[in-house]
Amino acid sequence: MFNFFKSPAAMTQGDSTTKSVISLRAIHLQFAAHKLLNNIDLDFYRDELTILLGPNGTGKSSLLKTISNEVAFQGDCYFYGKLMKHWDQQAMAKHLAILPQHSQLTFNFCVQEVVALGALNLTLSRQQLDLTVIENMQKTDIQHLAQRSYPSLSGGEKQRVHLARVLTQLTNSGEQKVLLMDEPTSALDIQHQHRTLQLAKDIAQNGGTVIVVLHDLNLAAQYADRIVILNNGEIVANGSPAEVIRADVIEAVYKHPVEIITHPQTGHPVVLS
Amino acid sequence: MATVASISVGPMDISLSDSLLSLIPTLEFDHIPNHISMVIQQVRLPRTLLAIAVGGVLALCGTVMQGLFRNPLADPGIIGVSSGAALGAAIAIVFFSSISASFPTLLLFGTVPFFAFLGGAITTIVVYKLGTGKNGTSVTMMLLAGVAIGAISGAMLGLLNYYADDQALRDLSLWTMGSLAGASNNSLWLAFAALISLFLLFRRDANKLNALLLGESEAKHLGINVQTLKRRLIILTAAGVGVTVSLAGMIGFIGLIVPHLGRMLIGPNHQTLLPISMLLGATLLLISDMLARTIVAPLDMPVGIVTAILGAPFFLWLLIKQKGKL
Repeated sequence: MFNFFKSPAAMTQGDSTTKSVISLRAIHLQFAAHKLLNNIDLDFYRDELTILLGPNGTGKSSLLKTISNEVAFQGDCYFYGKLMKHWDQQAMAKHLAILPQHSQLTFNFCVQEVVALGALNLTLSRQQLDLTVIENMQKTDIQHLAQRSYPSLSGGEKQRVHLARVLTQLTNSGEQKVLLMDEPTSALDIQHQHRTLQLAKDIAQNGGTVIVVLHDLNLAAQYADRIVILNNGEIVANGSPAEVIRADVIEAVYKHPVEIITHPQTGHPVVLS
Repeated sequence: MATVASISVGPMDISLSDSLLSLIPTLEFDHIPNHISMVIQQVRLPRTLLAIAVGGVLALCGTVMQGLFRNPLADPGIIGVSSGAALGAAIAIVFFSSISASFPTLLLFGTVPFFAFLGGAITTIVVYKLGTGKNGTSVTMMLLAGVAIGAISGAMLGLLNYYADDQALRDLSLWTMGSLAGASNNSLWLAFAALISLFLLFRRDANKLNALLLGESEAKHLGINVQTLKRRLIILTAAGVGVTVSLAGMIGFIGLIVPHLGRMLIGPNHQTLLPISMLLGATLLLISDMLARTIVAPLDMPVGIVTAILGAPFFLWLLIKQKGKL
């Protein structure tokens, strides 16, 4: 509908020869008669933090579920050049970690144990595991909760526990880290929103590939290397924050009047609504 | 300790020291009459050992089932797996009783446990399919499926009563109450083989079970082949329940109570929870059987009555605790 930037390849920044880590080709996803994703072509690259934006129910989470192979979609999804469905589950888990929005965990594990579950697929010594777990609990600021029972935590604390677990999962992945995050900041206070996105950014800057679904336009503008906006199951914008966070694009997609100014210190676009 | 107590407690008055001395088969003590050492060696010892094995297997299966369903209310008895297994066993007894007359051992090691396993496996699969969906386990669906399957099995068992001959009828009444009185050397071999192999196999999956508690997608993303894991655990628990049902009938609530006690003592990590549950299950069934043998002595009460008296109020208490979350 609003295909201002309908040519993703042309809009991709940096070296055009960079091989994409994840490639989506002609992805269609339908639930009953409802089209969730309509002919999506999209690439994700290393060293890049891509943020997916869009109104509720426009296919952001469906796109993540397509990449994580949780839905039956049409089209091709490549992971490091190999079709996703040809990957061995265990091999893929060494590179691809997914931070869920919610968890079903109701059993009385302590925080440290939940974080250590991330190492299930790794061969770490007891000592290495303990060190990794402590390091990741520090990164997500939950070290003071280490012995607390997981079900007793608040929503935001739980989200940080799972972030630490997912970081643990990617311990030995070197530069081939791929992290998908589904609304990782939804339950967090402002300090931890920034800490979480800074962690995501650090992974991207160290060779990783990070894809984040977000609702906060300003956080997206501040942290994203690239922003993709989805609307009605289609890509309507794909580019750098400065290219995408524009009044005409945002107003057309969200049907809400906005004013865009430039952050006086960082130079990022800031959305006033 | 419970083992020693179980051997020396019974309707016949035998002193503790005499009981223990009788266990040493090669020695003969002048002051212990032959019939007493017979009672110890051929009645109480097998029964004690069977209680240990059956209790351990039931507790292991309950622990794994609660992990598999991601719900602490799952129990082979409550969700109908035991009744499914009992129905399988009953079908085998009634329709194959002509064979059993000529080959009783074959029946014990073959048809009855196998049919009990089939019944248990089918039930577990049905309940799992009904009870679990994209958003986790629905306790309501799980419990109702258990009620439905329990009703079907009950009706079929009732129906089978009319087709059964006298011997089969006596065997049938055992399934519905649960009793350890049928302990024999053959049943002990089967029970301990099940106990040891289940423990070793479940132990290997302990960490995967922990991860499964996060949810099926999360477990998958951690690199676990969830479908294979689920299939393996369902088959193993059904086999375990099938063996216990074919040897000792339906003994309820051990698989419900024990994992809870275990989690209270050492937490939900299956690496440690499985061995603790096995020990607690063996102990609990042993104590229950001692009560069953002594409360109405010299008569012998089915141990299933004791575990139900202990377990049903516990189940109610759990339901009250979970009220509002269901």
